[in-house]
Amino acid sequence: MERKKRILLIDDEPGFTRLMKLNLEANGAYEVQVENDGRKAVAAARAWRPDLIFLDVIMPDIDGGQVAAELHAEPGLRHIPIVFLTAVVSKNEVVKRGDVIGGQTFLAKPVTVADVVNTIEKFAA
Amino acid sequence: MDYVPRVADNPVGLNTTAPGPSGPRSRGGPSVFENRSATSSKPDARTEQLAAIAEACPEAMIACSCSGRIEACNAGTSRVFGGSQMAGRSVSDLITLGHRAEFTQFLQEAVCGKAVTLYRTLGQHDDGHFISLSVSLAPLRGPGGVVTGVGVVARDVTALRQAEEEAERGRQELVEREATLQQALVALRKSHEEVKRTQLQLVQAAKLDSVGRLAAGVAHEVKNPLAMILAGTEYLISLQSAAGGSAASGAPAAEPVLRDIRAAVDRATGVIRGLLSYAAATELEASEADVHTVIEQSLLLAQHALKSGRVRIEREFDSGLPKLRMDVQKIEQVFINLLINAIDAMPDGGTLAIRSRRKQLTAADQSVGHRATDPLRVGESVVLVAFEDSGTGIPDESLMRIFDPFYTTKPTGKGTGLGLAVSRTIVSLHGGTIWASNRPEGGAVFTVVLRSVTQ
Repeated sequence: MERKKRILLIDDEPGFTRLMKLNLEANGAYEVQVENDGRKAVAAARAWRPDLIFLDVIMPDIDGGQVAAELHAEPGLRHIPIVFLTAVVSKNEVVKRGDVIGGQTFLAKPVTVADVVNTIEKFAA
Repeated sequence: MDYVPRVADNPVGLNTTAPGPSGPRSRGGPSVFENRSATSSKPDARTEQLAAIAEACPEAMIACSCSGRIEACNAGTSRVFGGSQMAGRSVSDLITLGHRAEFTQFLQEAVCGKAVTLYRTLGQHDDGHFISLSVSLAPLRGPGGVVTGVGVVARDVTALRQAEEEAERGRQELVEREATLQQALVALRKSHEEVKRTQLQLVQAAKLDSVGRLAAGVAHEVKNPLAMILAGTEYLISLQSAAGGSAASGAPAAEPVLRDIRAAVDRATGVIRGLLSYAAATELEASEADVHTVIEQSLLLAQHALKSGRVRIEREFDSGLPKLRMDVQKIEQVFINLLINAIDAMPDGGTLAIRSRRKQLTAADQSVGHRATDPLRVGESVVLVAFEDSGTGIPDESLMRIFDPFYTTKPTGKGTGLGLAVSRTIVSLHGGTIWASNRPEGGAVFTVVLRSVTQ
């Protein structure tokens, strides 16, 4: 049986990550881990080696841009696709940050489960 | 001419003539000095007084025969008309040719006993210059009241006339100045209106600026809970489906309720997106595109609303249009806005005609100027896309404000008042413009004007 794709959700909103985890796990094709503290995101990625990371942009203490830069700086993690999943509204702002940090794409909140699944299937190896 | 000066009979030195065709007289004919004894060789005291007055008078005082021959005149006559030999001349000769017929007419009336007082005419001085005259004519009567001649008093009113003309010119000048002032007042009122309008726009801009900052600030906070509601609702919907429908879950009405919640989230998200797309400083991702493809894509996206609104689409596309440089998604947003507005404007259904054409702008077009800073300039080649609905049209008072942010004629909850404002902002970002007007045959027309790519 094919290994379930590992999805790491990094977002400071526990309510959102819990509900999205429920949705993705209900789909049956994904394993989901959640990290609500941006400062622990890199460690979580290093420990678990996800196939794709959904990354919030605006978080306390550290923003998604910095997290992405740190992930990118680490040779063992740099290949993991990052998708910004954010309530930041300006596409330009995300693109601006994404260009710097090598982000793949972004999804704007509120997002449908279908869009999240499509994105995983598109980017996760 | 039989000319006999009678100095002795003429104590004031009036020029006198011999009796005229009216017959011999004892003295030099009727004159203002008639009042003397026929037998006396010396003038009496009263006659001398009158003569002195006549002599001192600046007016020309002339006694002439019924045929108009001058028989006597005072010194004032020479002062007014120049020359020294007046006696024997026709009094009409003192008047310019152009006014002579009128004078002769009055002269004849005087002969018939009718006086004419202070009428204005034009005389000619001996040296040729023209004299404005105020003339009175009165019959001179002999014994028995018979008219024996005509007395003519002519005053030189040239100076008065010039003063009158000067006054008239002054009056004219005042009238012109008043007109100029009126124009200045109109211009002042207009610029006052413009200042008021600019002030309103500034207030609007300030309002928008704060709305923009507020929107950006709250969007994150609002979108996160919306994201949770959506994720939660979708999860519950999936549970319902997994349980094989409402009966099995024990909550028969749950699924429609969840779908309502989901629709509400969509609506709230739409409002926030609308606000942000208006308030956010947007940059264009422009590429060359075929405007008809963008129209068709917009129609495709709005097809459900068009169908349920029973709106029939008529296309009248100019097949020779050039490609335009545009942000396809944003222009699509404009077209969809206009489609949705047209659907809302025709609650009982109707026809929406979409026409495209190329045009060379003229000064008669709206929002078109000559200055380099004007968004669209005369002579510029543009593409017009008009959306003509068969609704009830737009009330005049709304036409002025329809592109203002937060202005809506739709019922509460139906529109944010931002659709057209966003549309105008987007079209302006493209260097174009958007017009709204009413069709004479009813219904409204929104025209999007986009620059040709070759410009």
